[in-house]
Amino acid sequence: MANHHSAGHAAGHDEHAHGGVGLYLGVFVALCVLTSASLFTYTPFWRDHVPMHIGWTFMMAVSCTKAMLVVTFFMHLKWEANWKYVLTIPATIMSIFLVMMLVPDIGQRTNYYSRQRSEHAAAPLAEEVHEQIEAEQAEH
Amino acid sequence: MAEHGAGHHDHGHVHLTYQPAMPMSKGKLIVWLFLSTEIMFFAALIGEYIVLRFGAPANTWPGPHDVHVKEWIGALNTFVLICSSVTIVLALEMAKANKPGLAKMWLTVTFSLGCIFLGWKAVEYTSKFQHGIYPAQPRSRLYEKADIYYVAACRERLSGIVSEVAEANNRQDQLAKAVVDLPAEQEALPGEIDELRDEESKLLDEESSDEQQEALADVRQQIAEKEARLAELGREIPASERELAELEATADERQERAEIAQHLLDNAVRWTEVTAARSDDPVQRKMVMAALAYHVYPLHRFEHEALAYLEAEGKSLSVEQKQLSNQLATLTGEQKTLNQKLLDLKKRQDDVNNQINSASAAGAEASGDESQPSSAADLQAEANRIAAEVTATEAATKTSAAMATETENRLKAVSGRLSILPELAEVEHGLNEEYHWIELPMFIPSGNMWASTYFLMTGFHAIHVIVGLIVFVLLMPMRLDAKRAGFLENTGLYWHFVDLVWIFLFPLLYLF
Repeated sequence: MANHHSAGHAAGHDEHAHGGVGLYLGVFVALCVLTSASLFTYTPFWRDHVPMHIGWTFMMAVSCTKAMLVVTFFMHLKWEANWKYVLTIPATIMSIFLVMMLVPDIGQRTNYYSRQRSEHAAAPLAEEVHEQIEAEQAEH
Repeated sequence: MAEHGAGHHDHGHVHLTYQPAMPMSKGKLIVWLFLSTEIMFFAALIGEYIVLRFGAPANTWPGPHDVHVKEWIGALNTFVLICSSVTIVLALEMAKANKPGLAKMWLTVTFSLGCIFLGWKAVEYTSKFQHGIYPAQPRSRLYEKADIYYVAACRERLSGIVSEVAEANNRQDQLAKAVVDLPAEQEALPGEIDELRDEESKLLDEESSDEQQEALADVRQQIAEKEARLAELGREIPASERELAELEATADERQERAEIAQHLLDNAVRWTEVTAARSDDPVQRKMVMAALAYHVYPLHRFEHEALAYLEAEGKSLSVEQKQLSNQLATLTGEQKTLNQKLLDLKKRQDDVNNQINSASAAGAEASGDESQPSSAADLQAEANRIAAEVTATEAATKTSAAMATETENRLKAVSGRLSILPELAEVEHGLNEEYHWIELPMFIPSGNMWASTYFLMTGFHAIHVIVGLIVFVLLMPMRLDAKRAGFLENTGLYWHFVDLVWIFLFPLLYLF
């Protein structure tokens, strides 16, 4: 989004110095293409050929790109003064920090199960059954 | 920048102009400040969802189809919101170019697109509510595990249906009696009232004493009571008839429901409970419950395991059924033999007793004669031996009968189970889908977490859409020329933000 050349516009001028229907339609087309791209990840072809985590990362990257396009062009941040950084950078840092802080205990809550946690958590049926089969076999 | 306020200093020579602190209008500044709080709010919501969703191990978060989420609706709504972002920006451009008519046109298009978005949202919410997927007190219908608590909840629901039907049938019987009795009472009442009125006029004609006054008051009260009852019956009879007609109209349907519920209760739920409690095989204990959950609400990822288990169960039960029938036949044969033996023994016992009696009679006649003491003692020993044998045979008969009953019960249960298995296999989309009234609890891992976060996020987003639509309605009567472009710009900023949130919600809720 950073476009330093146009960041210093004076107050009264910015409203006439940017935009244009052509540009907006271009952004619209880009948004539609990106939406189709993220929808494409739901096709059987994608599911069979791309690992799940790559698919997730791809979709989040697409979402961030779309958000960037909307903020930059539709919300005119491209043509705003430097205050836009005060608004966007701390918010971005805090959002990332929020998720990172929750990852060890909440996000990875099932990586290292304590007994109490495992008793009160949802568990996949298949794994439990297989564990039980193994325990059975170990006994005999 | 009309608010520079230079007008206050007209009287001096110096013409002061105030520069605003920020290079934008106050309105826009306020909107951006508001949006920054909104950004933090939604960042927290979405961040929390990401952590919960991606922290869940594989297969413990409902897939879109498990909770009736349709990707194409999400994609369509994304498209609708993107279009509305373009139209609101076009409205702003038109206003800046001083074309209020076109600006209004684009604003109206934006408003319509927002309404379309909400319409699809309503369709989605309705399908969730119809399928029982929503947070609820004291407990939602979603269960984390297909365990014994889940099975107990299924049992409670089914027995609830059965007892509701029984209650409704009782009520129908009562009403059927009432619609015969009440009209009879209604017919009799006018005559009774007339009699009382005669008595009243008679009392009025006579001289008035305290006693007569009392009697008169009593008669009048009776008349009032009967009249009140008559009026009540005038209301009660049609009401009873209506209710009876309603109950009679639904009687067959109700009976059918009760039969289905009872059938499921006996051969699916109780069977599952008994197997889960008594089976020696831990895998079977687990899988019988999982299979029940699969029949109620099939989750695609458990299909293979559940079906494999059910096939194995069907096979082993067929074998068991044959064994049980054989066993029962053997037991019946054994019982027959035992009964025959018992009869023979009783006969023999009678013979021996007769012999003993006749011997003792003969002994009494020839009291001095001690020629046959040994045969009397022998007979007594024989009698004792037979009595012991009778007791033993009776005990054996009892044991055999008990075993036969037990075998028979098990055979009945196994046959019932075998009868329901093919029926359940035919219910392709689950019992809840097959019988909409049945509303059984569902096993959806992390279903409650999903429902809470889904409604929280989409609900907050929908509220923002509604607020945006209200603002559009407020703007519509205005003349949207260049002077008012600021309003449109600020509204547009808010609307783009709403679109922005959806850009993240769409893949997170519909595609992961």
